Amino acid sequence: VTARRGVGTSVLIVLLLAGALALVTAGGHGSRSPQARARAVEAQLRCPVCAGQSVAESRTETAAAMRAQVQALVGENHTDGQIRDWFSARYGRSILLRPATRGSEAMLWMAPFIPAAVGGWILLRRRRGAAARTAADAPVFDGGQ
Amino acid sequence: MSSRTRLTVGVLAVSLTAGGTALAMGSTGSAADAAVGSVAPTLRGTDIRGAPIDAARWRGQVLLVNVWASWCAPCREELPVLAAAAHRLGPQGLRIVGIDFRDRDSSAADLLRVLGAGDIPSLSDPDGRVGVDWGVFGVPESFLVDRAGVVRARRLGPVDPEWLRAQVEPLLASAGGRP
Repeated sequence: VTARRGVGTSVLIVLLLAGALALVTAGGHGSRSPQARARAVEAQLRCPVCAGQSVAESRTETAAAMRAQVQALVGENHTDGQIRDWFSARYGRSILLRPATRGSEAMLWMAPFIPAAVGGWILLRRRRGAAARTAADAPVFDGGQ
Repeated sequence: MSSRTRLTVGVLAVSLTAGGTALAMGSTGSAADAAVGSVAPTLRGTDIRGAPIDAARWRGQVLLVNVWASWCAPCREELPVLAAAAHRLGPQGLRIVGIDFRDRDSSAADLLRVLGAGDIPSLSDPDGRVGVDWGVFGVPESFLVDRAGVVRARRLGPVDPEWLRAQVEPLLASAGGRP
């Protein structure tokens, strides 16, 4: 039962991660206001001249210019994904604070969970094998004397 | 589970991890090099004196696009170097064009006049969106565009005579650089 729980937990984690990645990658409009959308995208862009700050946080002139561009693209009805791609094309993928949302890169995020799932599966197989051996070795109850 | 199966599973897990890492690293690249090798963005709008400006009119020339501002101290040091380069290398086919980044047009025009760089046309970019379209990090920053309209080099910080010699003059002298 414990081994099955382990496998179940591993599978659940992988599924939740895949679902979260799918949501992030889709980057749809949803029901957010243009200001909220712009703010959310700005928070996902790295200020290229700051130490660990997003475009939303930075007070530099470059970040201010990038915010103006995000707001203009939101106003032109570009999706969040299209806006991220627009900046990636000009600044490289490292401009994204959460860059690993493409299919190929999602593999990298999933990789640590694969050994966990495989380990759970191995554990389950071993437990089943041990249980089967125990059952085979047990004396047959003869119905009493 | 047999040792062979375990080995296969292990190799698969390691391969997936390594493959994912390689793909991610390969797609990241250097941010400062993102523009080099790409077709240069358009440069069209109003200059700091209110006149229309369109860099397409200089198609076929080597362009040095300089992003600057009057509030930027290193830009004040750089502008006389650019003015001298425009004078010296202009006959060989170099055109220097500015993008006045998040600045007041009047302040920018005054500074160019004071520094003797009034001949350098500059696009007004008060909200900085033109600069961002070029992928600018800060000011001063320059992009060297060949006659086919492709960005060939990028300079973070002030342009100096050494950089002009190393980057601009060879491009002017190359087969694609002749007027």
